[in-house]
Amino acid sequence: MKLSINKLNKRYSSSKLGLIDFSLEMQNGILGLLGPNGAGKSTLLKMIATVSKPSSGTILLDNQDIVSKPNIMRMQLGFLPQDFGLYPNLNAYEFLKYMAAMKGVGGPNLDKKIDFLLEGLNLIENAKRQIGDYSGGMKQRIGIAQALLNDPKVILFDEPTVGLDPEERVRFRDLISALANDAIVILSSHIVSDIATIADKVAIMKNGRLLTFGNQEEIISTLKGRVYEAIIENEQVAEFKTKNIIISTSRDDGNTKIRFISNEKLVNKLAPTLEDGYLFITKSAGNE
Amino acid sequence: MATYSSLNQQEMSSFFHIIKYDFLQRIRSYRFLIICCFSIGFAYILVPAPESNYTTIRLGRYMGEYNSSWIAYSTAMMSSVFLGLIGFYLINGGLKKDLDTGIGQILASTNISNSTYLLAKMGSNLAVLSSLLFLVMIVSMSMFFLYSSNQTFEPEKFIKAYFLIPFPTMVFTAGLSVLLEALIINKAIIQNIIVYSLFSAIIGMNADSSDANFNIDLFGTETISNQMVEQAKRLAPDENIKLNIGFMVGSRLPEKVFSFQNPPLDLWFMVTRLLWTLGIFFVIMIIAPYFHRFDIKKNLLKQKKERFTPKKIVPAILDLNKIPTLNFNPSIIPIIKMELTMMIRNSSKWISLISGGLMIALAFSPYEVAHQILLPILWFLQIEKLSCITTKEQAHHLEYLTFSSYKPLYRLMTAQLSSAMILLTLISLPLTLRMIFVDLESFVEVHVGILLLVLLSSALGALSKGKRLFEALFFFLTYFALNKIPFADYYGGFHEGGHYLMLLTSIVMILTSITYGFRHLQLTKR
Repeated sequence: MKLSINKLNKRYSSSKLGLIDFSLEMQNGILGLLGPNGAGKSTLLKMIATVSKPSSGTILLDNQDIVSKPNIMRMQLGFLPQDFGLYPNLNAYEFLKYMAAMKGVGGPNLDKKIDFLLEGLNLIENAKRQIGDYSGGMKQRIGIAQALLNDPKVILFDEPTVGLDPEERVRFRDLISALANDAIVILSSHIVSDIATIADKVAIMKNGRLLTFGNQEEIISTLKGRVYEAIIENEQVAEFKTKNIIISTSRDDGNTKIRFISNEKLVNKLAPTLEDGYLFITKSAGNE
Repeated sequence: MATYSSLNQQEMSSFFHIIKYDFLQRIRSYRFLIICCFSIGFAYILVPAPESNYTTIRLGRYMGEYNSSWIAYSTAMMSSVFLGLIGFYLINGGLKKDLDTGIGQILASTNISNSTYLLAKMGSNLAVLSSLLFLVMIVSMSMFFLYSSNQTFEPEKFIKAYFLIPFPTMVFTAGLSVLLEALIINKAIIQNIIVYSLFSAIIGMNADSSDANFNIDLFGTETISNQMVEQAKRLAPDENIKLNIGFMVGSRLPEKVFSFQNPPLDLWFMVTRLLWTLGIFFVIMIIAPYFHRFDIKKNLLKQKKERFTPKKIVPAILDLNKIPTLNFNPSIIPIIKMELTMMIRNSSKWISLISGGLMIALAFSPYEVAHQILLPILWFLQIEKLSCITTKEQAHHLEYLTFSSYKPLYRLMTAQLSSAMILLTLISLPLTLRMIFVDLESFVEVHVGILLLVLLSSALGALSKGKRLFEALFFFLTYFALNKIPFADYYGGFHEGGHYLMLLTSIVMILTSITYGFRHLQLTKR
């Protein structure tokens, strides 16, 4: 399965652009979409999910245009949007049956499949309770279950780990890795660690533009030998920030410990991470 | 530490800020634009064109000459009655919105007092209603220029009439909505029933028009209508002239006109208008200490027999190699089943009980009573279920899931409409089974009425992206249907003949086009 996005643009008004000339191509595996809030990640996912139309450009799934024929995508799509709700008067079991019907799947295995998903996502014990009683994490897991109902070949997860506890997050990452063997998985997040552990490829976006697309190693290698750590007095922090790209700061015995990027040869060199790469690329891009 | 006077200033500032931003939030919507269009249309038909075949206010066979006084007072009276009734449905839900969005909880954690908050919400309700009223007044003034010739335009008469007649009614309606939401925020259907009963009782008592009932003239129409009757009687002292308010088709006699002059409004009239305004204000002040302040989860949980606490479970393993596979199944029957389940659950036990009682009554009461009175009441009780047929995805933030599903326009939409039609058909069955044997034409008309109602809800939902417009119109339709106003007969209660059936069918077809057309736009132009 191949997903090709070519020169995709989304214009909300004459002055507001959601996506600008976005092009990307991928096959089975996990694509991590990284970017600050407002980067255009959700806009892109909504267009791939066929709930939003691009102003121009094409999205091809196995060379078939899904903008003009959205049902080609919808039949093999699993989508977990960032903001979604559930019908509070239904229980988990009924809701998943409803979603299966909406996706146009069913048959003798439907009950078994719903049981399987509910069990795997720790919801079986509460499956007969009305969803209105569920916690945020449980609702998120229902969202994940509905995305997997139709054996999707294209899976879009927009900020999927919101509301999940640390244990559930780890399990969710394992699940995504397993899914990616046989599907295109696009995972959007601004939590870099979620992406860093599982993504085969990473796309970094800002202000609707694609800044970088490649393997994690390629992105990290651009910072090789340029990431440092220093401990400075609190009063010097402001001035230090004007001269260097700061990755992170923390308190250290009354002083400030700073992780930063520099082109000069310094001591305390650190191994770069994806987070360093992400922050370096987005900060270097400015606000244009 | 804040002083008492600075706290007072802060309260006043909060009061005006809530009014201002709540008002702005409400009017900056597509729905408000649609409501404005409806208001303009409503104001336009309030003053019948000279050659038209209907009247809105008639005194026996007489009508007023189109001078400033007649247009100002007749449209002000009609606005008071209609906007007073429908206005409730347009503005109700302000507190519920604050509850649903979490704004209410944020406000509750500030030092704003209950009375300030409730009065501010009343103020914003009033601002919305006053805007609509202002629009109606402007259109009425325009009607003067359109239809009057050789008459002097006197704007002060319009301002006086609208200020004294419908404006206090709007204040009452704005306050009543806040009052009911402050007491029973999660019982929308009970609120609807209370308002319907209250307004019906007031109108019913005013219809007696005896002096004893004068004080309950909420709409402020009695004094003016008495003046109209008195002035018309001067032309025909021997005739028994009675005032008729409402849309009446036919029997218009262009030659039977009289010149209505500015009515003298006595002190008692002013006092009663003020009393309605102040009355609702004081009632809100009295109930303010008992306002739930959005701490209602506690009460809801109390009602449940068992409190739910999710169990902490050791995560299981989702082995994708063992996942069962499903078949392609484009049938919409499973969607219809679930839509029906949701509709049935979306109603209180009381409403279900009353509906059950009415269904039994449909089977055993006299045929005409069942058809003309019980059936529209039974349908109106389903307002909560019908009003969200096509808007619940947005209301529950499910649109991204449902709109990215397989053929959402033809499958989901059709299933939603079908399930609502099935529900109405089933609850009407005790009557329609009787109709098969005695009145086949009415049988067809009732089913066309079901189609019309469902499609009206979905079309207005698609147009306004909310349920309030349909609720207001449904109330309006039911009220007039029960009062046998011909144009509101959407289910063939009073009409017979193929022409009427054709008319209803044409409306159904138009509504179908609007429903599917707008949903198609929703899906493709996002």
